[in-house]
Amino acid sequence: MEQATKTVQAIPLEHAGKPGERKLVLVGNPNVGKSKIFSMLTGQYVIVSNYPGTTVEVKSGKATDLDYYVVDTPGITSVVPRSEEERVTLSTLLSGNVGAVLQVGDAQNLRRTLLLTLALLETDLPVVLDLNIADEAEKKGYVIDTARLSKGLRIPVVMTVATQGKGRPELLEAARRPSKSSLRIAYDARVENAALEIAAHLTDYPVSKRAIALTLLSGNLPLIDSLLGEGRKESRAIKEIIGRTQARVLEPLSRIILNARMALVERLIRECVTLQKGRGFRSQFAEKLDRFSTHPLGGTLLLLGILFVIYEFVGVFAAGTVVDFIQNVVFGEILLPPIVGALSHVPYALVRDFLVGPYGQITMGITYAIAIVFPTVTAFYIVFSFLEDTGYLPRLEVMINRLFSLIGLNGKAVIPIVLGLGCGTMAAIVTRILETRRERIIATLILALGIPCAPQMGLILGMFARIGFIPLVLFFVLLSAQLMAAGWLASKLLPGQTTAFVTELPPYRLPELYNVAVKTAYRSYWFVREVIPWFLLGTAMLFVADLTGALPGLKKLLDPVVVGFLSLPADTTEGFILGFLRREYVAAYFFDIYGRGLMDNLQAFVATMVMTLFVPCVANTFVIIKERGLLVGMGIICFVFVYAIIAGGVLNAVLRLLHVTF
Amino acid sequence: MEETCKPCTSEDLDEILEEIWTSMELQNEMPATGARVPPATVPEGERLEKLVEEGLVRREDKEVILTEEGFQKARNIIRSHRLAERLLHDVLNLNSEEMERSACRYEHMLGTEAADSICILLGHPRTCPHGKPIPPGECCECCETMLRPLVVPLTELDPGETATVAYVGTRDNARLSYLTSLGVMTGRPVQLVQRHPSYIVKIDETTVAFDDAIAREIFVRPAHRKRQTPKGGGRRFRWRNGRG
Repeated sequence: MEQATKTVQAIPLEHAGKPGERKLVLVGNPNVGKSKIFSMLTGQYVIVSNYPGTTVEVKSGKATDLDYYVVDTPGITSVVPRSEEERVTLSTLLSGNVGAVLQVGDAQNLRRTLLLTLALLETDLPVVLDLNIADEAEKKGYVIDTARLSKGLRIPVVMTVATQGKGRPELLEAARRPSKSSLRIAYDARVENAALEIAAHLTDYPVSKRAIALTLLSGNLPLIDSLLGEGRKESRAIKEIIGRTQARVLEPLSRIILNARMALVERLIRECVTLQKGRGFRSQFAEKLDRFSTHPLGGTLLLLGILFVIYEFVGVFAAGTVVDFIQNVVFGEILLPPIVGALSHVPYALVRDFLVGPYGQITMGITYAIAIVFPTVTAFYIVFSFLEDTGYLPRLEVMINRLFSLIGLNGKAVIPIVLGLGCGTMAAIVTRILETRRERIIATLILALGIPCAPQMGLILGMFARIGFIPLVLFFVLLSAQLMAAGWLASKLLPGQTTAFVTELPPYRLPELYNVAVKTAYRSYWFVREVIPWFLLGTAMLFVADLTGALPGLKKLLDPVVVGFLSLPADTTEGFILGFLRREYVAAYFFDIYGRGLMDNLQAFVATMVMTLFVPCVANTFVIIKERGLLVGMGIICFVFVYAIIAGGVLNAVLRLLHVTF
Repeated sequence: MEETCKPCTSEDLDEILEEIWTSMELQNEMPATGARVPPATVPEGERLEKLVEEGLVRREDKEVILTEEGFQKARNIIRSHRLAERLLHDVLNLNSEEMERSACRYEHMLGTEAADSICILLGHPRTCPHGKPIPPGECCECCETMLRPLVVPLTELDPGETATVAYVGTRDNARLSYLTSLGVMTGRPVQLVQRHPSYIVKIDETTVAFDDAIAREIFVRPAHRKRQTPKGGGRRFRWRNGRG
């Protein structure tokens, strides 16, 4: 279990603040730069990207120049949560010891920002409003009178450009003197009365009773049960009040509340914002690219183009040229000979074999991790980080929404699935952004079944760079068809309906090379730190198994399946055993024995398919169980295990029956 | 009810034009300026001379051609006649014989404006009681846009069209809050960018994508197409759009 939490740190997720420390909670709409502000305040690095939903867990750190523990939260759109990660943010606000709320907003989207501000002010927590992305707003010609806005809201208001570190002193200054706003919105009398009635049933919370009452009236019904306990007298009474109030008005209560807030927002904007002739921000190119990338045909072409670039860069260049060089020249000719030479003086054969034998820690464990997996993964992360920062991923959601609706998901699921191409463990956590349990289960199933993670993907591309491009296309067509079929079946079996798809498209931004580089470096670093112990452990296990004769015995035992059913060399059994530990280990292993000519192209094709479908690694398994529960988690893993072997056998039989050769 | 819309028998020029129009229709020809008058309906001698003299037709080689003036006149007569039929039939409930007789008199009496008034009164009917098309008048062209409901679901907009959000017709609180926070709220101008593969709209500086299910719940008041000239109107709209 400890390993699982470690993997979670692949995006750094140290947990909530220490007890007793005053928290500064960062809150705001998605994709406004909260994480960047968090870095600015704490000096800690966190992953930032250009799409809503980058942050799915609360993370915290000591502020460098403030007497606060800063807490970064997933973006929220309103006080009525739509998905799990939004719920996390709201419960952080309710958790107590909140010294101040720092709302980060997009200066260009003041309406949305202020709508949330007004909801936050009602909590009676001290609030500071930071209008971020001020540079883009300025280029578009918005002139915001922050002094006047501050007066209108009765809280400090500052502007920042977090990506350039601009506005930090003002932000720190404002955070030192947060104030509770005395601003009160007068709602419809019936709503006000209901709020009073509800407040009478509430005990004390870290936020005002009125704020909780209004949130409940806005339709955040699950909050009642989590605050008061399901079926309790108070919660029944409150539900009754809400029902009675709703019956007396024609419109949904949430609309009445929102309309009152909107009226005030409009007034504030009229008073505080002027539009001058902007220098024009969006280039013609960005505008055209935007249209092109969501056009049915253009978007498909662009996607294919991107996939091709990934194939060339990761598969052909990194997994081919670079790996060849590191494995054969750097390790084979420069590093290993002197080490092997030096160790040949060690009198104990056992020690020699343990370090540089066929299952040696150095010759196998380290070589696999550093020479084969590391360059491939790094190359993949470069492309991936770049894509994340452009704002392309939400456009992909637009393209794929219809396709995903066939398997009970909507376009939103693109984010966890695409992240699965980076790391399945991370992706299993990101399924939180999906709205229903049904969608989360389907997405987890697809991720566990057949979304190859970065190292696997890299090595698959590397292998197919040698097998051929057409087989690669065939491979992915077959894989996608199986995933679609599995998803379709799951969507039929699980009760419920596909939820409607809505998402925000952030503007295309030119990725900052610095951010891409740092992000890649951090991810590669986490990866190496994470993976090397596993590779050493796996190698050690093989070494011991080989020494004690367990390995040959196991090979013999599994012979009918591996050799008989899948027609693979007996050695691949080791690979599958390693696959339980780390997915990239089996990939590296197959890559290695294929490179040494121990598998033909057809066998490599089947082996790659089985490996891709095969069970997720240990860390991923733990996270799946943690996120989905023991029953569903184990159900998914068992299904995947059985399915992978059957599918591999069927594929093998069909290919041989049709006399397919590559 | 008779199956055809017979021209009246008086020897007036109007009657000749009406007959030309009707027979063109019968031959599945679209009556138009410059159309050849069917030989069977070309009048003889004096009456033809009269038509030419009035500038309603002209001779070309051996053929007789309808002029612009002739076309317009014929169109108005047909329009008046068929609208009158509609009025007498639908509103006054006369039998078909009585209807025919009266309509033949009305067609000479009704001016364009009176015809338009009847047209508006009857809700811009497209056909006469016999099923023949009533040529549309100016009033009908206005109503093309007028007839479009003032508030339509977003799915009815064309890509590139702008509109104002009238209301979001969902009772799902979380969805309403979310859409509102994205800026999809009453009174905000939206522009539909595309419909496929998903709907994309622009609201202020926010671009939002969603599927049919959501698009059907967002009701908008389309900007008046007729009045919105591409230059002035468009710019004014954008300016307001960009504010805030």
